[in-house]
Amino acid sequence: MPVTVQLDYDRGVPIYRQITDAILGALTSGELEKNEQLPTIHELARRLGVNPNTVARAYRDLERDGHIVAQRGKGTFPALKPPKPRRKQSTLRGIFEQAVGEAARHRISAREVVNYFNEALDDPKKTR
Amino acid sequence: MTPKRPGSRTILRASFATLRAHPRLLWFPVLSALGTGLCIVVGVAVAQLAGAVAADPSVDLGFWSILADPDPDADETFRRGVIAGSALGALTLQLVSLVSAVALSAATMEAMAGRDWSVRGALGSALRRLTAIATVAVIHLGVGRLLHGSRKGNKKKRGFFASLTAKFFELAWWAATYLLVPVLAREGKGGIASILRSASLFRRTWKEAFIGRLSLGWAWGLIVAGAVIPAGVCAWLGAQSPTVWILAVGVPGLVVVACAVVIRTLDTIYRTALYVFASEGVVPGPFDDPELDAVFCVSG
Repeated sequence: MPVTVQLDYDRGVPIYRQITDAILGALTSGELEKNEQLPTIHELARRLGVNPNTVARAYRDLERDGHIVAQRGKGTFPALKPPKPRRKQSTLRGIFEQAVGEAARHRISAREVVNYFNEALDDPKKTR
Repeated sequence: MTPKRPGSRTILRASFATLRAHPRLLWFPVLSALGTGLCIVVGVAVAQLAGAVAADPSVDLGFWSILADPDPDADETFRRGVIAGSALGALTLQLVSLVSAVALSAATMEAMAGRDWSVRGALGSALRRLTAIATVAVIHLGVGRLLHGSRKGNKKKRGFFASLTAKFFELAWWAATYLLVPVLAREGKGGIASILRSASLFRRTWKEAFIGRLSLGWAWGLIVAGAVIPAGVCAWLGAQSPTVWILAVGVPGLVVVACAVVIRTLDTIYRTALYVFASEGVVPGPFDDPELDAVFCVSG
C-alpha cells in the first residue's frame, strides 16, 4: 500500500519535515510493512508535486536516524532492526521545530515561545 | 574559517543555468509581450472607434452611441466611458502579465524537479487558477492606483516625510507580493489567501529576496548603462546622420528589450527557487551549489 502523505502548506513546518513525519507515522502505525518498498524519490516527488531534493532530504534524515535503509539497485525499505534511540540533539530539534511551526501557525511570536519555554523550565507545574 | 560571501554572479549563474538547460522558459515572457502588444492594439482601435463615434453623433453604432449622446451629460458619459475602458485595459494587461508569470513559475518548478513540462501545459495550469489571478490583478491595480495617487499628491503638496511614507508602502507591497507568483502557481489558494501566504513566506526569506533583487537589479543597471553609451557618444560627437542614430539607439534598444525578457525570466526563476526553499525547506538544483548556502541559509 502506498504511503499516505498529506501536505499542509499552512502548517509552518517545512515540507521535507512533513514527509519525514508522515513516513515515521506510517512505520509506527504498521501502514508500512517491514518488507514493503518505499516509493522512489522521484515517484514520491511527482506524486506530491514537490522537488526531488525535498524527498531526498526526508529520506536522508530517516536513513540517518536508522528508520529506513537504502539498498543500492533495489530501493528503500523500512529498517529491520528498530532504530537506535535518537540522539538528544536530534530529538530536541524535532520537538522545537514542531513547537515553533505550530506557534507560527497561531501567530505566536518567537519571543513568546522562548518566554513560555523559560517559564516551563522554571516551574513546570505552572504551565501544565 | 568564515565562508566567503557569494557574489551576485553566483545567483545569476544558478538562475542562468536553469534557463540555459530549459531555453523554452523564454516563451512565457515573449508570449506575455505579444499578448500585451495585442491588447494595446485592440485598446487603441476601440478608443479610436469610440472617439470617432463621439465626434460624429449621427453615426449609429448601437452600444457605442451612448458615447455620442447629445444630452448635457454627454461629456461626463464620455469621461466615464474612457475611465471604464482604461480600467478594463489595465486589468487585461495585468491579467496577461500575471498568467504568463504564473505559467513560467509552474514550468520552472517542473524544470527544477527534472520533470517534463510544456508551454501549453504550464499555461493551462495557470489558466486553471484564473479566479485567484483575477482577484490578485484587481487588488494589484487598486493598490498601484493608490500608490500612484499618493506619489503624485506628495510631489505637489506634501513634504519629504509623506513621500518617504509612500515609498515605504511601495516597498511593503513589493515585499508582500514578492513570492506571490510561485504561491499562485503551486498552492491553489484564492487571491487574498495567496497574498497573505506570500507575505508570510517573505518574512522568513526577506534577506535572500533582497540579495536576489540587488543582483538582478545590478545586472539590469549594467545592461541599460551599456545601451545608453552609444547614444551618448553620438550626442557628444554631434552626429547628424539618421543611419548613425538608428544604429546608436535602435540596435541597443533591441538589445535592451531582449535583455529585459531574459532578466524577467531570471527573476521569476530566482523567486521560484526561493519559494521552494521557503516552503519545502530544501534548496532546489541548481541553486543547491555550496557557494549559495550562505545566501539560502541552509539549515541542519
